Amino acid sequence: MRLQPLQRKRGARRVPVLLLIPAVFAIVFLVVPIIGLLQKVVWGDLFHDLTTPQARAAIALSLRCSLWATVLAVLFGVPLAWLLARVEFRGRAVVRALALLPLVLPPVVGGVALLSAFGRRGLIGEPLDAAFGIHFTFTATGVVLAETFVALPFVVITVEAALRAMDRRLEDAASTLGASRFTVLRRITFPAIAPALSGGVALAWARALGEFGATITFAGNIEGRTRTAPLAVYLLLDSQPQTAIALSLVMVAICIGVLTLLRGRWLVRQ
Amino acid sequence: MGPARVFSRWRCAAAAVGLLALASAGCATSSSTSGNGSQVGGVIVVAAASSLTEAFQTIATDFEALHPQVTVDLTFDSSSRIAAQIDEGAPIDLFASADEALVEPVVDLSPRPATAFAMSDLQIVTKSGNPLGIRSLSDLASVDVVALCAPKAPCGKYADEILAGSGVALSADHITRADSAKATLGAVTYGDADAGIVYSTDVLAAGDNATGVVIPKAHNHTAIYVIVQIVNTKNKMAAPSFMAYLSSPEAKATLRSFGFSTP
Repeated sequence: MRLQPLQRKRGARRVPVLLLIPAVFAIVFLVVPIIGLLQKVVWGDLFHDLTTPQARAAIALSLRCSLWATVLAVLFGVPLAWLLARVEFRGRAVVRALALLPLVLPPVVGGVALLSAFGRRGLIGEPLDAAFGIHFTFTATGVVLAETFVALPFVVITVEAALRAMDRRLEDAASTLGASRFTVLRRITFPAIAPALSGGVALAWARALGEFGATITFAGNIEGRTRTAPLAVYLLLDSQPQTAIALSLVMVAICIGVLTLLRGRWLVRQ
Repeated sequence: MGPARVFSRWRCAAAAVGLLALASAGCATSSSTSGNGSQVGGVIVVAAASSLTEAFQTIATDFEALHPQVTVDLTFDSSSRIAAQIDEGAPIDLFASADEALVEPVVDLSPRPATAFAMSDLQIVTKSGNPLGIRSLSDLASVDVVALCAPKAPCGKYADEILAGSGVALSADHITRADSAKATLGAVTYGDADAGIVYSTDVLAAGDNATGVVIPKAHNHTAIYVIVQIVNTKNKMAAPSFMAYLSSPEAKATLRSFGFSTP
């Protein structure tokens, strides 16, 4: 009787070669570009490259805009996730699809769409400009808008999944015991979705930080105003490749940091 | 259940293998070079400055009509970026650059000298109808955002020279940099940039979507477009033939119809 678990264990250890070979190829394919980037870094000059005025301006702007975008994505994304998870209404599937659209849309198309809506001659941009003189294009606000557009789905998708997966009887029990709606939200709902929310936030932030296509199309590429780190990498690649590589390294490091913090939490329910 | 399952699994695998074979066959035909006697043939990859987009599309079609065995694959980007791609080993047969300096690293290795085939000067581009009434380079200092090409791209280098030469200093936070001449044009025609500096031919190509303002000759720059054969070119027959065609009366007429002047 003690043989059986032993056998199963041995069976589980044997990896089918047909799966192993492509899997190894996949690993190599994902890792080699990063190694390629690393061997281009001039380590001795790294500090100097990252402290050039252009690099510093790009990193500072990137951090500022991506954090704002993450805050906005949470402020608007969590209520939307709650609506999609808890309220049944006609067209919910359509709303959900629209909320996830920026996830699959080519970012440059997102930029063109934002321009058509919030540009100076856009649907909303034109009246805003005429009435208040507000414009989004070529401003850091425009960068935040573009980054929020692409980051929002990550918050919606993770929080909605968590809200659907949680045991609603806990909320019902709390209400029956006399807890107010706010108390239920604070003591029951929020703790239950917190791990998923933190995963969504981290992914949204990483996505906002890396935003390129929508930003350059909608907000332009002005040094210190809208030239975020990814835009600087692209612009500097032919004039100051060393700085471009150094900035790339910073972004790789940040993304690896985010993923390490998450430890796959947004995929694997703990 | 067992045998049927196994069978369908094998069928899936066979289908996958078949698809792979098809895909690789597709790749093979597109890169094969079939030298058919004296007739030139095969595929040539021509990488050209973005400002040549419309002209080269027409020229490539005309060339393919003359040489039905040849397929011309066109790719457009800023000349500086193409030069960087060639440096990294991009499989390009011919490089049409808006700046002679950028072909220098490859021309020494090239089997034949670079040929100048077209010229264009630069213009201020404004939104259709020039709503801000921009008349000169100095007016650019008073608008909110001016679109220029990346400093390393030829159009960006020329624009910076033109501005410096005419004593107009634009502050960095009013300049948006696009990666090529066409992207710079787009920042003005579709985007919210008030004005930009691009090739006169780009303004012409934009038609009703943009209005050009002439830059006086004293401050202007004439870009000379050169084409060079890349040394490791795959198609040794068709590439020189395309180069020669660019100097033909027919190609010159096409280039002139798109606003270029020809040598």
